[in-house]
Amino acid sequence: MHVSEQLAAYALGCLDETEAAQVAEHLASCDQCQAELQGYLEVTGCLALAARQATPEAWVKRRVIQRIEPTLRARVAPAQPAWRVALAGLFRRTAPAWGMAALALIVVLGVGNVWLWRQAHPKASGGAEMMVVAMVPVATLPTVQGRLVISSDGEYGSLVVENLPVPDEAHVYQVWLTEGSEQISGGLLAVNDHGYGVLEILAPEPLMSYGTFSVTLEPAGGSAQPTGAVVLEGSP
Amino acid sequence: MTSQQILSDESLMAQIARGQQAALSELYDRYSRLVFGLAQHATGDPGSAEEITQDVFVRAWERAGQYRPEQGTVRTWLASIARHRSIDQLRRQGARAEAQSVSWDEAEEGPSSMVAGSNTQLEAELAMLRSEVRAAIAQLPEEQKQALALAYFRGHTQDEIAVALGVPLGTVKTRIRLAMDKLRVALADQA
Repeated sequence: MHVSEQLAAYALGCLDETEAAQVAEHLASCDQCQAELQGYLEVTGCLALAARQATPEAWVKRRVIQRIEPTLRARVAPAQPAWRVALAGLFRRTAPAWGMAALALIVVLGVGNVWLWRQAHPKASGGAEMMVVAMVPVATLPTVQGRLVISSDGEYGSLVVENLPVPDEAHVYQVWLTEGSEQISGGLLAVNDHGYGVLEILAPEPLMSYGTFSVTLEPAGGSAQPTGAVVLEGSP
Repeated sequence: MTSQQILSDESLMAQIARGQQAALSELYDRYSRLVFGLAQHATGDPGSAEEITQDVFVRAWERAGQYRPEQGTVRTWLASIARHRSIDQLRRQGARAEAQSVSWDEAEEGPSSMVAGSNTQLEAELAMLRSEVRAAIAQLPEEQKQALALAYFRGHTQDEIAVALGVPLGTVKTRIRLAMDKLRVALADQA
């Protein structure tokens, strides 16, 4: 059988190893077969659509987010724009005089983050005012500042913090959403070397429906329920 | 919201590669039903399908930087990961003995329930393409559909399909090739 007659099976992945190797070798030097293979690959790509679509349980998405959170620190912290880091340094050096300006900047950054989120979520409505929740630090961390910015429909929120002590490798900050006696994780909050961090909050219910938002220090990887002391807390 | 403001799948992948968690959330909202449906159909087990769905989007997060648009759409990239992950799962479970039970689901679907963050226009385009794919498969002779399903959903080689169906290897090769040729013509410019 000529190689061209095996391209369909090759695209489907149903040749045995020897046949597949022969086809691959031929493809490396045959533009015509490469072009023909592309057509079969596109067919294979469409076949997934023949399976009946089904909606996974909501916890599946939450679990995906939990699984990627340990990598957020590595990705987010080094990616802080230089100007943002520089500004953070400026505010630290001049904290008493510039305290209000720093707070304003935090709110602006939070709003910007929510705006970016809403760019990726076309269903988010506009019009009504966004809510800003002041996150109050514990007395032992008086320089810590935090604001939670919630979109007007309550679906999306972004927490921005500054001056949080950088945790050691064995610990991580975790955000909690409290509704009555139930507390659920809002995600792990990574901070850079300057104690600056931003976290988009994911929650199964609109953020407005939660009574309290808090941040605790938890073992690396996060906890199912809060185990560490609260370092920041706020209520809508 | 106008269509011009909708982020493309490729833009979402670029954002995911930069560590934007919100972009992954949006990608999940767009394609979790496709991924979960495919995994559930291939494995026949909702629990396995839930695990596979997680793995697909975690892998998308980890490998977004390696995605190349010229090699295929984001949808086909995700579906390919889901398919291969499903086949791996079946092999681990030793479920290949049930190979003959797999088939193409030709029943029409009702209106899909939209998930938060998903997009009506994208969902409509996907539904139209899905309808065309199903119609094309429905036109195939039963024996070609059967061979194609064993190859696609079970990951069987042509030799294994011949054994499973009790027909000569040459017959299986012909059925696969004819089926793919017909689908290629029917779905031209649709991928």
